[in-house]
Amino acid sequence: MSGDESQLLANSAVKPAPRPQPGLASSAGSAELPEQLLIGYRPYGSIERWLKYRFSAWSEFKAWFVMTLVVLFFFFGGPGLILQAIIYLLVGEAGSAAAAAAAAAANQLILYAFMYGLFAAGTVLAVVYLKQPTNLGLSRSGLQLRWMHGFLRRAGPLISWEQLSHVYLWRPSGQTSPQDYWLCFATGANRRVLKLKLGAITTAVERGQLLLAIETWAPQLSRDPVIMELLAPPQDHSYTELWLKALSAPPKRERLTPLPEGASLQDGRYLVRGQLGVGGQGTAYLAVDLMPDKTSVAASLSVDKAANPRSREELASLAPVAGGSTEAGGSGNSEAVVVLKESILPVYVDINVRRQALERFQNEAAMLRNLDHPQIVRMMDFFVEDHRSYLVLEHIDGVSLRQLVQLEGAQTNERVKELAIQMCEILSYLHSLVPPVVHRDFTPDNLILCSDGRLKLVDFNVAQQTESTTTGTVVGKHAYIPPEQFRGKPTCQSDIYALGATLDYLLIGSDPEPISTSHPIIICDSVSPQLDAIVARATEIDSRSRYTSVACLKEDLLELDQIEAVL
Amino acid sequence: MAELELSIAYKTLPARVGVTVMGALLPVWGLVVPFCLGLFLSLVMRMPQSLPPVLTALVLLILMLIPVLSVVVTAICEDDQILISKEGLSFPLILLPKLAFRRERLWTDLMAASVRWSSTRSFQGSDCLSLYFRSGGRANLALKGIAKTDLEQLLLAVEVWGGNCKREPLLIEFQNTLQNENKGLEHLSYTQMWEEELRRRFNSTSFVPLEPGRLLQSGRLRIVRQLAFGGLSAIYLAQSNEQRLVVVKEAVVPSNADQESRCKASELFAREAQLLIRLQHAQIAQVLDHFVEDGRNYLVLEYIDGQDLRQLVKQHGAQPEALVLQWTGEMAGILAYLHGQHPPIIHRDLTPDNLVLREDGSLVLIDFGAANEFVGTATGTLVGKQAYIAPEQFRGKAVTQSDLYALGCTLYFLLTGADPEALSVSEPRERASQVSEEINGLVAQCTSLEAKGRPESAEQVKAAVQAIVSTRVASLEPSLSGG
Repeated sequence: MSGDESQLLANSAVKPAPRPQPGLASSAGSAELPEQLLIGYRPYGSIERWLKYRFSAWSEFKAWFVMTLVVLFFFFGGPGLILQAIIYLLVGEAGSAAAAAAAAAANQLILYAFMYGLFAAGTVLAVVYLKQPTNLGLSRSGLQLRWMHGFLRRAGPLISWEQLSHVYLWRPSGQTSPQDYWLCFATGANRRVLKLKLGAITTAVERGQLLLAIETWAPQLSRDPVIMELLAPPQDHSYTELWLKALSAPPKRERLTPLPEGASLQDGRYLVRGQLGVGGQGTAYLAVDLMPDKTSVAASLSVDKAANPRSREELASLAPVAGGSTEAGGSGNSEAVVVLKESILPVYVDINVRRQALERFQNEAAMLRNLDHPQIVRMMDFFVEDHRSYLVLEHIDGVSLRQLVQLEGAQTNERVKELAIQMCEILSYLHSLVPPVVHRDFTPDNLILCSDGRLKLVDFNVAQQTESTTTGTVVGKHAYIPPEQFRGKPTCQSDIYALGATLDYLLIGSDPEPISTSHPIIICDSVSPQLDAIVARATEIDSRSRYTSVACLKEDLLELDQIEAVL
Repeated sequence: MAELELSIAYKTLPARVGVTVMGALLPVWGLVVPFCLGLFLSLVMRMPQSLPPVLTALVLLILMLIPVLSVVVTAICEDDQILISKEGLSFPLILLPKLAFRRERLWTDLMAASVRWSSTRSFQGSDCLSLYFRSGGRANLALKGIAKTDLEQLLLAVEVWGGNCKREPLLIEFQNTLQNENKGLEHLSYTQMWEEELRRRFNSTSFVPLEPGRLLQSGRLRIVRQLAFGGLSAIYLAQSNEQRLVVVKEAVVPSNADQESRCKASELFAREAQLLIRLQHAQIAQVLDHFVEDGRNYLVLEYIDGQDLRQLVKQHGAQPEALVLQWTGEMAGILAYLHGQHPPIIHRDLTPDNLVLREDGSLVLIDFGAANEFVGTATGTLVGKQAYIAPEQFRGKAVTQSDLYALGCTLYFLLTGADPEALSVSEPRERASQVSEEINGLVAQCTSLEAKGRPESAEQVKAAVQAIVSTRVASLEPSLSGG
């Protein structure tokens, strides 16, 4: 990252909240990998589009109508009648011979003028049309206007990035619509080399690509911040399209029961293999993603990922390239196993309730999207279909800690300690985010132990509920909820309580007593006293006596090693 | 995701007239005139002396202009599409003049949107949606010319993509009404329910709730509307035999449960239902029936028309002591009845939401949600309102005194207008200083964290209330007899 770029990042960070970081958050992929990028540049795009619509709106009825008329016209001897009328007109108007000669010459002149006029007009129109470029080529070396009118292909001069020193916006007087503004590229000597009409770059995606190209390949270019705003893509389109589709879909549901095996979603992209579990909030299915290389909304819109240089490569590899095929960031498998987390969205309720449900889903997706940790389940996609919301999560091969205990019984001190350290790592990541994410449902059911011994956290359903009114129904395993969370004021320490309760569960093999400090040693005397002390301190009812941060807990756990080594 | 582009038909009377007229005249300007032009040209070429030049020029001009103008006019009249994409809006040509001759507008250009409407039943000619643009120009769309579902889409697009624009409250109200109407919900008056209320009543479910109009029990029950749902249960308003209104409570067994646990759950439910059906009390909503259909368990209850205490307090604020005392007596009476059953029934969810005030002023207990053990275990989570759950109930060991804790919490709410703090002793005086000592003491006693510290039974609470009331009356008597 060059100095200018990081400076730009710093400047962008001061922008008002709603906008994502301009440029880097471009919803189109980064153009890093491909050498060239072609975006549409259509100065008369609106006219073309209108014409296209006019002619595509030709209906069958009209065609038949016109055909009938034509047939009737000829059937009733139309041409003959007209001919007679004109001859009558002309014969009746015949004047003297001399005048006639003059008239003849003049008429011929007019005729020729008319014909030539038409021809000239046609030619001028054609020339003007053909003169306009159709595309703008962007590459590492510079900008280039292209003409691609079918058979006629031509490329304009390459304007290299080096020769440009700044880009500014020119607003013709009297024009207030951004579509009429011109983006001007100039050299150091203040000579304008290229003028681009903003309205000619029709889609936000392409505008974003232009901005990304400028920022990646010409970071030294000094530019007007207004340009950034105009080129940067507006709000996350994925969310807005989600809303539109979900709220305006017809109320009739296609399915009234859970998805059966073999059901497919998103036009055949996801194939359901079976149900994994049903919770209060929704159902989880095991499914197969048949097109994992296809861009997913989630991957291409990772805002925070873009800020991290290491992940930018990831972003570039995942996001699409204009007009071309994607390069998958995955292992290149033709299909991938995923977990679909489904929740039913209400239909026959007041519109505000429906919006709230949609918002909740969006918030959960947004939160998951921003989490990037090897021990937290990764979200790959999210969508709404048939009045149900779906989160596409990576499939984790393993058993939940609850299942583990059900199979093997209470766990050994060493195992628990090792798992505890992993849990601390997960929680410290979550709590160190800005703002900190309190999970609120850190229970054995939500922690999966993989075959390689790694622990992974799933299910952020409760975490994203930002308000919990005191009269709302309590959600979550009550044995793992500390009093302050119950009262509606959860903090990071609430997660620590849950962690402690989970350790207690692992040590004694059954759920701990709700809202009470756990001493596993009382129930299971093979528990080491030091570990017992840690669990007890973590599950203190009064948050003031509890561990204040996960780091302290982890410290104590690591010290255990040393104590045991000594012993 | 595919690019989203919507096109909405916008038909106005002038446009329709124009299209019809131009269509009828099509043979004239589409066929005859061009033909004439062609013939005229060829004739003039062959006999150039026949016509004065001026006339020739004029005729040529007219003959050329007619089809051109006609095409233009037809195009303008025929153009009845409003194109909506994520970039912006594109309006029909007919609206050009007011739009300062720029028909394509970006969303960022949209400054404000307002609507004028009289009723959504049928739009009047003057009803219109106005969109104002920053760079000048505005679009006045007559509501009559747009189909209702299309209008819904347009308004949604304005809301979702036109983020920077100012939407007048009237527009938002109109949009909501329209959306509800399109779903057949126009009889609902949710305006009385506050947003917070809605949030509490409608939570995500893992099953599809029954839709309004659905029939159960071979048509004997018809679902009128959804009242609440969440997790694995739902509550509906229904009509029995096309006459009487009832409340139907539905409980769903998770679909991945095996046959054994499914049977067990159904058994539990049936047993509870039998228990509840036997209850007969003027102040408890009668349980009328219980059945299983399509693998789901249903309980049919009497529908009590009235306002629940939460709504009442929300609307009118904290209630006067005398009234609260009266209600306390009634609540205690209800609890005494329940606890006196064999085996005693612990309600577990006594909250202001579950107490409805009838028109005649009497209180009725309507919900047996938490008394239903089944619902609790099915979801694995605790059912109940946080602030009203007694500590031992939270630990899974509810006793009859747990209901008294809830009673105390409910009193706190009625006296102060605010929910009490969960898992703690509540003293209404702290919040509302006009509350008398005796009542304060009663509430504090009821909400002791230990079940032992609370009144032993509901009868005791009733007696305590009567004692307070009689002392009040006694203190009034001297003034009565003295006067």
